[in-house]
Order: sequence, then structure tokens, then C-alpha cells
Amino acid sequence: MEALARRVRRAVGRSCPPYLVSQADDIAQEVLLQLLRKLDRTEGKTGFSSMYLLKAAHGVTVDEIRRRSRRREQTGMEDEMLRNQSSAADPERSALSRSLGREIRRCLETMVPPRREAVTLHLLGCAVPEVATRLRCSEKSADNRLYRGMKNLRDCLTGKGLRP
Amino acid sequence: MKAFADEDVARLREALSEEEPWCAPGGCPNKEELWESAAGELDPTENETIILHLARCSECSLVWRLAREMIAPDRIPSSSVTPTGHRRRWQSWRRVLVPAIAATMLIGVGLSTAWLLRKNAPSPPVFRRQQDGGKILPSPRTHEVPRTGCRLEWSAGPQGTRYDLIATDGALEILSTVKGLTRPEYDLPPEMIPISTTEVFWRVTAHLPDGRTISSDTFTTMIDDAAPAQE
Ligand SMILES: [Zn+2]
Repeated sequence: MEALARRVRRAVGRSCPPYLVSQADDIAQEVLLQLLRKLDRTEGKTGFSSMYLLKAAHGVTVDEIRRRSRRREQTGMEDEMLRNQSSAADPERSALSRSLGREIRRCLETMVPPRREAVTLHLLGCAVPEVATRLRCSEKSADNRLYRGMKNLRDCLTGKGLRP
Repeated sequence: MKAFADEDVARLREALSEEEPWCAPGGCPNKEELWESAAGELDPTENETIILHLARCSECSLVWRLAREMIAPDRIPSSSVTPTGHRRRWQSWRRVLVPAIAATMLIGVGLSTAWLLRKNAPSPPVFRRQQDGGKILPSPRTHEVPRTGCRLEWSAGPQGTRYDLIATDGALEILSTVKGLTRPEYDLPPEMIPISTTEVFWRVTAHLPDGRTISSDTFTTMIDDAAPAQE
């Protein structure tokens, strides 16, 4: 179970916005508790495959993240929390980053789907071989789509006066 | 020449991961579908639909990234997977992913190896009796079933064996528990399978006439909404 908690902590740390990253330990604990409760109800903690547990842990993590995001919206703590979060030591930079995120998505919308898919996967963390695997195409084709797509993205962002 | 330097790509990635989670208009795929996309379990068309959605939805991007990280934090699937059909592809992924995951997990050791290996084997179910107490195996027919004919079948024990069964969805929510079945099968009523559920996980405990109790691994049955109900 400790390995599962580590995995949740790490995934949250690597995937989530700063205000959630700073709660990664807390989220991992909560996920474990909920998972154990569910396993208790299923009358046994063994016999489930690793993939099954991992998928369940993912489901519980997503629920927990959604709950925390909702609560944050409702309590209007955004500004205060952003000021206090460790990784938002530079609030101006953080705000810029988020507006860059929005503009990247607007630029993605203007691309033809094959390039949009490749660039989206790349920006979600996939290198060329993984993009190729996920899009069921050759690495050469993935590379080509990515090259053209990233060029489109650069031109689009430049047109908006933005640089990464 | 590359459109962006590596550090610029890192900056773009960071910008997307720092977004507030908000859902794109027009509805989002559920978290199971996002998991399946990240795990490479979806067929190409469904997968493309999800990826195009990720392009415009920050909340689903977050859910997808989380799944990808959790499935293979250190190991990225290689491009050597050949496109020879959905099932074989998923098995290739499983071959890559499952051992990696199993190695890092402390519980859940009941990895359904027998089931993974036999999933597509047409051989009849057997209830092997060995020194370790035998093994309950699912019928190959239960690999994929229609929602309105979700019959879970497994290998029969000796005459007089009674079976308990528990079925859950992917989030470990219990769909059904039954005790004392006299036959090695159970029809899961369609009203007990939420419409969002595409996989049913189930386990059987067999109470043998000689007093021994044997628990099975966890089996997976896919719900295929397109398939006609079996008679
Ligand atoms: Zn979405």
C-alpha cells in the first residue's frame, strides 16, 4: 500500500497545478484511506490485480482532486492560496503561465486534427516514440506531424505576441 | 530546425499543467475512458476522440496525465507495438505494464496471470486440483458480454460445491454480492450495471464439499454494448 501511496503522490506531483502539488501528501493519504475502506467493503484486501488497484486508485484520486478544486472555487480562496503556495512564489509568472496555457489551447484548435493530436500528446509529456504508439503511426509520421504542428503553434503564439 | 528549444517545450508543458482544471463545453469523457486512453486500451477511433478532447479540456488533460503517470511512471511504452487489432495491442501493453506495476505493488499480488494467459484460449474451463488447492478459472465466454446478458461463468468444482461471488466496477463500487450459488455461473442483472460501467471485476469463493475454501483471482469482463444479447 505504501508503494501505491508513493505512486499517487508522485503522479499528483508531476501532473497537477501548484496548489494541488502542495497537497500531494495529503491527497495520497486520503486516497489510501478511501481505497482501504472500499477494499474492506469488498471483503478482502488481496486477490485484486495490480492494474485493478491502480485504476481504482486513479478513480479515487480524480474524485479527491475534483472535490478539492470545487471547494477551492466555492471558498474563493484562489488569490490567497496562490500567494501562499510554494511554487507560486512568483504570482506574476504563475498568472502568465496560466494565460499561456489558455492561448496554447486556442492555437491547438486552429490546427488540422493529425497535428493537433500529436502536439497535444507531446505537450502532455509524450516523446516521439510514445506519440507514434498512441496514434498508431510510424515514428517518422509522428515526427513529421509533430514538427509541423509545433511550427504552427510557434507561429500562432508569436501572432498573439507570446513567447514561451 | 526545431520550432521550439527543449526548454521552451518544457515551459509550454508547464503552462498546461498549471492550468486551473475546468471542463470544456459539450461534456467530458468519464474517468474510466480517460484511464483506458492513457493505458492504450481504446480502439483508435475512440482514442482519437479522447485526444482531440484533451486538446481543449484542462480538467480531462489532468485526469489523463495522472493516469499516464500512475500506469508507467518510469517506463514509456515503446513504439514497437504493431497495429494488429485492439486485443493484441492491449495485451502488448499489458505485457509491458503489468510486470512493472506488479513489481512496485505490495498488495494485490493475486495477479490474474492465468486469466491473462488464457483469456483468448478456446479450451474448456477446468477446475484444477493441485497441492495448492486448485484454481478457479473464468470461462473464455465471459471475456466480453452484452450488458443485457452479463453471464459470469467459471470452472466448476466437485459436485456439491457452493460459490460466493462479488462483482464491482472499476472504482471498486460493489455491483452485486451473492452467496451459496449451486452452479458455476451468475447472471448479473443489467439494472445493476451502471451505464458508465464498461468493465466488471469479479471474484469467486468456492466452498468445497470437503470443507475447503478456495478464492479465485479477480477476473475482468468487458461490457460490450454493441453485442446482441446471448440466448
Ligand atoms: Zn473534458
